[in-house]
Amino acid sequence: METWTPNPRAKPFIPRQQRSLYLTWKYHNFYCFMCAGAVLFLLITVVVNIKVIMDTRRVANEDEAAQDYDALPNMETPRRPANGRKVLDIEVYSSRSKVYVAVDGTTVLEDDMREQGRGIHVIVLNQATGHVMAKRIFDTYSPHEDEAMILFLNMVTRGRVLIFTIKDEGTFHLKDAAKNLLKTLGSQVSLNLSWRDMWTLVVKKGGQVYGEKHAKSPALSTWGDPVLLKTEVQLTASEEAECHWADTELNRRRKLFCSKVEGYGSICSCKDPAPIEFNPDPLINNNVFSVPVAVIAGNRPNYLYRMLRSLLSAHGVNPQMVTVFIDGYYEEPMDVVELFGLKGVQHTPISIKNARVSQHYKASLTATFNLHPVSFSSFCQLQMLLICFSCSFLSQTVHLLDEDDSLYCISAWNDQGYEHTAEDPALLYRVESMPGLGWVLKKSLYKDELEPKWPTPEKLWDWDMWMRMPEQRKGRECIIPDVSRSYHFGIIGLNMNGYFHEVYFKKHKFNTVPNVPLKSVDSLKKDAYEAEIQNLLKEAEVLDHTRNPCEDSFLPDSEGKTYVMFIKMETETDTSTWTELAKCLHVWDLDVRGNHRGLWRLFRKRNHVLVVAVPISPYSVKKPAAVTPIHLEPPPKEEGAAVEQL
Amino acid sequence: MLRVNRTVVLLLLIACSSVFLLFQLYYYRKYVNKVSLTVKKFLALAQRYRLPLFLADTAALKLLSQDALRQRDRLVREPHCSFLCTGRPITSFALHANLWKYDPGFLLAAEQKGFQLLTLTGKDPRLASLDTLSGEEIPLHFLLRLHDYIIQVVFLYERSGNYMWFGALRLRADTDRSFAPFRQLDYGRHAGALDRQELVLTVLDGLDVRVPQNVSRFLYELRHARFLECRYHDARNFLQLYPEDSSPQSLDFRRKVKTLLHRVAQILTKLDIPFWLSSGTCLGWFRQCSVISYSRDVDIGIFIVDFRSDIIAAFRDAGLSLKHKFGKVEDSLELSFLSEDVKLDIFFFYEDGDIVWNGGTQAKSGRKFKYVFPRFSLCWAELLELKVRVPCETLDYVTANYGATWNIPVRSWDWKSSPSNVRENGVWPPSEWAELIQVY
Repeated sequence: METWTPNPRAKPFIPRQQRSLYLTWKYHNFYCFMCAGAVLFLLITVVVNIKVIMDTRRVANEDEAAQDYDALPNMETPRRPANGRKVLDIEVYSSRSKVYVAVDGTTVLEDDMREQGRGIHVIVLNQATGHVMAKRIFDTYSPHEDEAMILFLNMVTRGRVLIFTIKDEGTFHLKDAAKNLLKTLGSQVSLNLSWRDMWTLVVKKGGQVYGEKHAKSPALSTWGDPVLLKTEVQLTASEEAECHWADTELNRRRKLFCSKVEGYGSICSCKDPAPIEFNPDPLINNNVFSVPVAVIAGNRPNYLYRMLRSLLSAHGVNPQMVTVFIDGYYEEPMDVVELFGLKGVQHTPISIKNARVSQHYKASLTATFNLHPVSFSSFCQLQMLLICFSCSFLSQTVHLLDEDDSLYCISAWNDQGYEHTAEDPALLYRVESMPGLGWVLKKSLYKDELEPKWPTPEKLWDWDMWMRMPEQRKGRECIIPDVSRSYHFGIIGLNMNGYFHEVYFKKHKFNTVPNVPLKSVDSLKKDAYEAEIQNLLKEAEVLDHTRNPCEDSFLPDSEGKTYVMFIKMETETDTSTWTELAKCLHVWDLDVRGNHRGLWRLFRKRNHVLVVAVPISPYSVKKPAAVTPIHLEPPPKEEGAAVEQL
Repeated sequence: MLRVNRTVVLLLLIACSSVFLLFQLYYYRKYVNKVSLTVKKFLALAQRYRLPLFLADTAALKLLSQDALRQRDRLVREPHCSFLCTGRPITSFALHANLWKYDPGFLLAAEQKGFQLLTLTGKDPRLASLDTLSGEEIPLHFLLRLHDYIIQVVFLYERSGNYMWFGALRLRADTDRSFAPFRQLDYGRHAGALDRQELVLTVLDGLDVRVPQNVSRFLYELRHARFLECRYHDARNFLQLYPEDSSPQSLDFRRKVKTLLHRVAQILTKLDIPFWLSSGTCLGWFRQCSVISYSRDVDIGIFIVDFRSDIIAAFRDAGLSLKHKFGKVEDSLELSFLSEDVKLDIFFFYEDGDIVWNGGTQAKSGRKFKYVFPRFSLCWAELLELKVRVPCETLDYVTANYGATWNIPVRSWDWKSSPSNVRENGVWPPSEWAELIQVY
């Protein structure tokens, strides 16, 4: 009771004398109990309440304190409301030496370069926002370009605004089919367009014509007068410009993509659009699921689109591990990457020409290993379309990189694997050259050896040539399949022209059978492979060296046999016999590729043929004494068609 | 009457306070329920979307660590919520970002469950390099709020130096500042680096949660996790003025330094001795995010309090030969080892008031030098694919050592006179030379 602090309002407790002792005691006890209880409750309540108050105050204080928590300045740039204005002013100019298109005073196309940009320029605008969605030139002075234009115009979604303008000449190979299409689009004059006319047209696909101007060329030797078309385009509400796809994450990406760019065909079709997510059958025992894939790209969004589509539909590929590296800050390739929900990285171009490519490769390789700290990485050049991205192939071989130090890379490409020289999708080779298209590299090789001494920007070297140099390769070899797992679809790389592609890549054989189980993969290790070659040479039949190797009859009409032939090669640089042989076999002849210690392996008429270079190959000892190695000399005069190196 | 009044008053008081107390008890139970319900809801969601999560909350983990568990029996706690109800309105989880395919469906589902969301993104540090690469921003933190209770999900990204990185939490100007008690968050004040954690699945308060296997180790690491990114932008500018030497010799030197540093880190981590990059090696990291190719040695610092006599043996066992040993544990200790032809200098640092110093000794004259630095704490950084410590106040450290012109390369360097923080410190008594100046 002593500890009880009296309640000032409560009367002091004074026991009454009148009560009986027992009652007094009883009441007394009762009161004490009651009061103590009450006070205890009060005390607890007060304490709890004070704690609650303190707590709330602390939280409030912290909230206040949070006010000065480090803040970033607002990075969001204020965006001009797209619908601020409902009408677009459009200016289109067509002349012999210059074309330009201005939308609302902003030049979206200007081409006044000499000897360039001949033909019909086409621009596609979004009818709701006025944004440029596609820009194309069709050099309809040259054949087949009009077909490409028809294809393109048919792919454009209805309702888009199309702007046409001719620079120099655009009608020589503009066939009736194309002219008719222009007519159905709304052109009044397309059927009469002729040699060196100037022409501009602004039209809504499947809708009204905003304006058309045409200037006839008075004579064959002169051009029509320049024409300038000024017109206005009424923007439509954005709902009308969009398709009504189901509201999913995928379709949100699709919607964004389709509102920005045009010319990707059915991906933006309102009914039944092409898929952007692929769920290929998973690969059993997939060893490459966690291998990062770097796709090296420039500003070729259409090819990037095709490439990514086939990459993602490959068995066993893991989209999370795919990173696309874009050389430069181009919007459209990035849009394509985002469409597929992949990670895209842009790289500020350094240096020029080949060095630019080489620096882009270095940055991409470094970043890939940073993004995915694992031990392998595979790389694809945009120059190739990966068919079944060889995931099954890589999955079966990737462990070799760890187990065999004499390996440099695993490539999905056989330089010598043409239709007529490749046969067995399950067969693998070791080669000394490094085929650059689609390959797997070990992290330690890159980080410890290649990255530190990668050619610096001022050296205008080809990165792949550099990687093939003996200082880098150090005698190591690459594993390749007999039948390539990737298909080069050319005209795309920075350094390749159409003729080059036609000659060297069109007849290349590539694998179409998925998930081929490979023949004894472990026999590709250094010693095992040597033993296998010795066996092959032992069983091989020596071909008749008196016949002309370029003739079909050089090989007997057998099937499934192994033959060996010997060619003359005195030194590493004495390549004339091989080059001539490669020419008549119609395989890669621009430099020596695909050999293993002076031995080439290929197929002829379904027979395995071993070509041994005598005397530089260690396998020369297998040559019977009576056989004279074949010696071929280049024809005395070479045609001047020097083709750029790949 | 008086008596009746008093009784009534007392009874009333008792009734009131009981009601009040019951009310508060109810409220407390509700709070407890709220916490476990919120966490439960979140974990169910996380499981559905396969978030590779583990409990990373310092307060909750502290209750789990060894010492706390020992005291547990004596503590009477609410049985339903003994670990997760830490009294703070926050529970933090870490997410292994490399194992999770970012799925916006998770956030949508969380929103449907009534959570309010705040996603904080930032630049991808894995793209930060001497090349100028830019990619999309990556998510760094999710904050989910339900009934004023916050769940923080911090993204751990695997980096090439074999460690996990998490980003600093920076609010944009348009973010709601009252969304969460940001000051109380465990993660976000600074970027941090942690070792990869071994996880175990356990049941806490009836919920399946993964937690770090070694909780006290994890908490220790977290306290010293602050990470500094190299200043690549400045390094690029520097390298433009003074391009990197790409001769075979300097390539070779860089390769050797990398091997040596990795080995040193391995030895000292095993001994549990923290070390940091010092002198030229620190300058190389700070100025050019790499190694100064003409520096010809590797310098590291260790606090003398962390000195252990078995250091020398450990280095010897790893194949490094002792080149010299100057000074003693009480004064100016310095060890040098040789690996291939690269010298490793280990300077021991002495704390003295508001300064820190290390000593130098000239072998032939026995002269002593003292290099004085302002006090510093240690941060993680990455150099040559290795997670190493550097002084957090790197600029002060480098400026103390190399003066304000540290940004200009100096090729002729005299360790006795060039540093701007060197002071003469007397001469060792010749009688002790044999002991204090050992050259091998």
